[in-house]
Amino acid sequence: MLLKKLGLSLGVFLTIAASVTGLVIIPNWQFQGHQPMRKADGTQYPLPYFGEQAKGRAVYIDQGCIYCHSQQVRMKGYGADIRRNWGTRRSVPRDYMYHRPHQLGTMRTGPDLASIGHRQPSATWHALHLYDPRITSPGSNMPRFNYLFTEMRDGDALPVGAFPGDVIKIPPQFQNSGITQLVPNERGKALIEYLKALNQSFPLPEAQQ
Amino acid sequence: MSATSDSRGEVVSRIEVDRSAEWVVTVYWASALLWLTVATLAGLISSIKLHSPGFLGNIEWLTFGRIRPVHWDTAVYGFGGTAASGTLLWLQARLCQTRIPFPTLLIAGGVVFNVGILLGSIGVLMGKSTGVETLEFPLWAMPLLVIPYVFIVIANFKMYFNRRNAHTYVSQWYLMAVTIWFPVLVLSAEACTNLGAVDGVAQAIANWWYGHNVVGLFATPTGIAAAYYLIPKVIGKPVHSYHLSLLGFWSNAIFYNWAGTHHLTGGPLPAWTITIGVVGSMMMFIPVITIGINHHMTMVGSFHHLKTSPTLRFAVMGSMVYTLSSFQGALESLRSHQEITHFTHYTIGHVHFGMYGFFAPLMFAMMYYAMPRLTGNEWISARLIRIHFWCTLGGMLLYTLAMCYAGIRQGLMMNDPTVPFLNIVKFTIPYLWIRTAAGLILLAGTVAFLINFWRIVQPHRLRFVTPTLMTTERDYDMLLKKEKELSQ
Amino acid sequence: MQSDQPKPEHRRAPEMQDRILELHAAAMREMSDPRDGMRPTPVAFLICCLLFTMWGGYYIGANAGDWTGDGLAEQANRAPAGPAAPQNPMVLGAEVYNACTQCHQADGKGLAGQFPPLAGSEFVTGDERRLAAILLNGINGDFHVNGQIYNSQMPAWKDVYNDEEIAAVATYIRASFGNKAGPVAKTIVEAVRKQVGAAGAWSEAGLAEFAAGK
Ligand code: HEC
Ligand code: HEC
Repeated sequence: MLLKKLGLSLGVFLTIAASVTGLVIIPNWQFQGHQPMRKADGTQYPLPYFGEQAKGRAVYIDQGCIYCHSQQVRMKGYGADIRRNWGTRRSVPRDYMYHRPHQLGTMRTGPDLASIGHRQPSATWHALHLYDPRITSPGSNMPRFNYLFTEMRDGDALPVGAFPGDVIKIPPQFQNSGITQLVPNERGKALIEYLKALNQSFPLPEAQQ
Repeated sequence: MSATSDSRGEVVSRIEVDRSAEWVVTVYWASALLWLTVATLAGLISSIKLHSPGFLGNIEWLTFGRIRPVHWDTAVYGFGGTAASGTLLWLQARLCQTRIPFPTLLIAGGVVFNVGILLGSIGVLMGKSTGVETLEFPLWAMPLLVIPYVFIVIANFKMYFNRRNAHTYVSQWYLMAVTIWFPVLVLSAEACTNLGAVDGVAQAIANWWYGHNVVGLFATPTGIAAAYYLIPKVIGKPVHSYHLSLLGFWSNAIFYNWAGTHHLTGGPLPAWTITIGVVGSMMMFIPVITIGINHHMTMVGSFHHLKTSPTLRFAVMGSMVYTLSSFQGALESLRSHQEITHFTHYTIGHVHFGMYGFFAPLMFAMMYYAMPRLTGNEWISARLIRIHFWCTLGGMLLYTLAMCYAGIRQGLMMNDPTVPFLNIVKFTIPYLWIRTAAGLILLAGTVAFLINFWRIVQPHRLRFVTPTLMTTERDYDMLLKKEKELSQ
Repeated sequence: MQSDQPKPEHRRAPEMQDRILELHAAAMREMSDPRDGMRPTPVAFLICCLLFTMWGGYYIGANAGDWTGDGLAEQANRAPAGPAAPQNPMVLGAEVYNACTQCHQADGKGLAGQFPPLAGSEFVTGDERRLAAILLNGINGDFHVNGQIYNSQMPAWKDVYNDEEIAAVATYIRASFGNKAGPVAKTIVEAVRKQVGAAGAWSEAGLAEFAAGK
């Protein structure tokens, strides 16, 4: 009698309980054994993000880069990710063992960024590009993140906490209303540190199969 | 007509149900329309930003990466959540022939729900997003969404167990299922992502298990329930086959919630999880064909009603697009298809095809049908209904076709490493302009509906004795003439 | 539950009653609530569903990897076997050059003050070994090109591209943007990689030393 009354609800509940078990709990249990690997020089991969990099990751999340950029490289022969130099190998679950929240992304309005630090280590480039993507990439539709920078005119004093080495010259044809130089502010610097740390080039064995 | 053989009791109960629902459902649906407008505007801003990145470019609050999640969240929770809740309450009350319980609490719940969405969206605009797609709202906004929904769940169960008829109609199964699925979905997804029960790839799976199911187990069943009710109701025929209803319901329940991993095809997932996602999606052919047959066979012989009934027009549009977009989605899950279209605008096209071609029209159909009964007024303007319909259909088709075509080309270019990335970006720009145009058309339709809706909720404004149908003046004259001839 | 049943209408205020009566028009004109038709499901359709479900089962079995968390094997099956046939270096070079455009730009003119031009650069059109060395290891720090000073980073490409690809991109930039120098052979890149491949990024002085000591 009770079963008859609740039969529908029970059946419906079971369907979803089954899928959450199958798709979330079991894979998570399968990943439990993952350990970072040690390189010959003693460094380990992957490492949790901390300090500047963690701050930069928070900026990445808060600016919603994920809505245009993925962070997952598909295997060789499936799409052209590797031939486009977006990574040296496919991404595997272990690359993400410390990622919370994950930023895999499902959209590539812009290129994949899983290994951007490997193919684009230049902080200057990142600074110019984030300040105005049209400087480095004519025709790009990526938004400007100019609020991550302090704009400077010739002769302006350095902002507090910045070193002369942080100043970046804007190429002359892109200088506007007297602004000739940039200094990344705290968030900008952190974001660039994070981008430089995005690197999946370490050859994990399971990625080679 | 043949089916107006109701007992007086049924009519009385209808009226009683509608009186108990009047305020509750109107509040939910009015919020739905407001959020639909907000979501459309946010979508438009995002869309413009993609082809003209300078547009509102220096305002951090409105950067693409913030306004874009606000667009989706207000569409899903703001519009979808409130439209579906209103639909659920009214349909379940009608089908159970009981009054809606604790209406004041439900109205208060609706208000809190709206506040939750508002605060959540502001949180995202301020940069407090959690960074988990579809669950971007900061954690502190979630109770404001969850608690009101608990009221709805309780109300739904209460009505279901107090129903007059022992027999349950197929729409009721779907509505019951929604109220069980959705809370489980939200709570487990929040636990796995923002509360941090799992990390990394497992979290990504949980995220997309949720992201897919919020459409598949919340919007879709509500839409199907509405179609199952409205189509036979308006044309006055029984649904084609109970057995097909049964098959469609259970195959949908069993297969759909496994489909989410197709959003991560090619990603760093164990092969088996993606494979299951592919099969879960492909298996959807069974419920979709079943439901499609059931709806189509019910309609056969009554297609001429499409000319006049706004409800039927939207409902049939919705259920036809349900079939088409589900076919599209099932095929899209295949690895060979995903190789090209994953990560492109194709996915965006598909989402809008489903949400604006299937779910939204069915919600509109519900409103067109129920609002005159809830308020005692008639829709003021048939022309506005026509504008709404053609803008919805036209905008949605333009959007979908432009994005899907651009997505395929984009994917093919992306898979050819000799094409510089910036060439791909430049290739998509004209299609992104088309999308903005399509968005404007959809907005025009929404505004037309808003005006009509605003007028119908004005107390004692317009009492027509006849329903507002989508006939032109000429049709109407002809109808009158014919009637005269017949009566002579 | 008593409270959920319709209340008798006469208990309502008169204006309410009015409204209810008026509403009868809308409520009366609607059809009765939908009922279930009882057509049987065609057996052929059921059989099709069954067959389709069997295909699903087969597909899962055939594509599940080994059911482990790292079982990505099924997807790797698709990778083409063996090395690809050698390609026209100008075509391959153009493809590889997509990795350089962010800095040196599509027209090879660079970005004033930040990234040096490849068009008309002595480093590009001059010594092939030096060019290979730059591409393999990258450059760090102050660097003069055509009398202008640049102080940024040129990434190393030795882990990313093989000798054939590096030779191809070198060949490509030597013959594009108005440059007219001859191709770079794969064997040269091979030799340079053997010689300095283990070193880090070049400094201006280090590169000059390497070039002089040939
Ligand atoms: C509107 C979509 C959009 C958003 C949002 C966006 N990007 Fe981009 N991004 C692009 C496009 C398009 C490109 C390719 C053209 C270019 O280089 O600008 C790109 C390129 C890049 C590149 C260079 C990749 C390469 O391979 O050269 C980096 C790094 C980058 N974006 C970082 C970011 C970061 C960090 C954020 C968030 C703060 C972000 N992007 C937000 C669209 C976007
Ligand atoms: C991150 C930006 C960046 C990328 C990407 C890059 N380069 Fe460079 N390249 C530089 C910089 C900066 C210099 C100057 C060295 C310095 O300032 O320290 C340079 C110098 C050079 C030089 C020598 C100076 C000249 O102008 O002739 C060559 C040749 C060169 N790059 C070729 C390439 C090729 C080929 C690629 C693609 C495979 C490439 N670069 C990718 C930044 C880059």
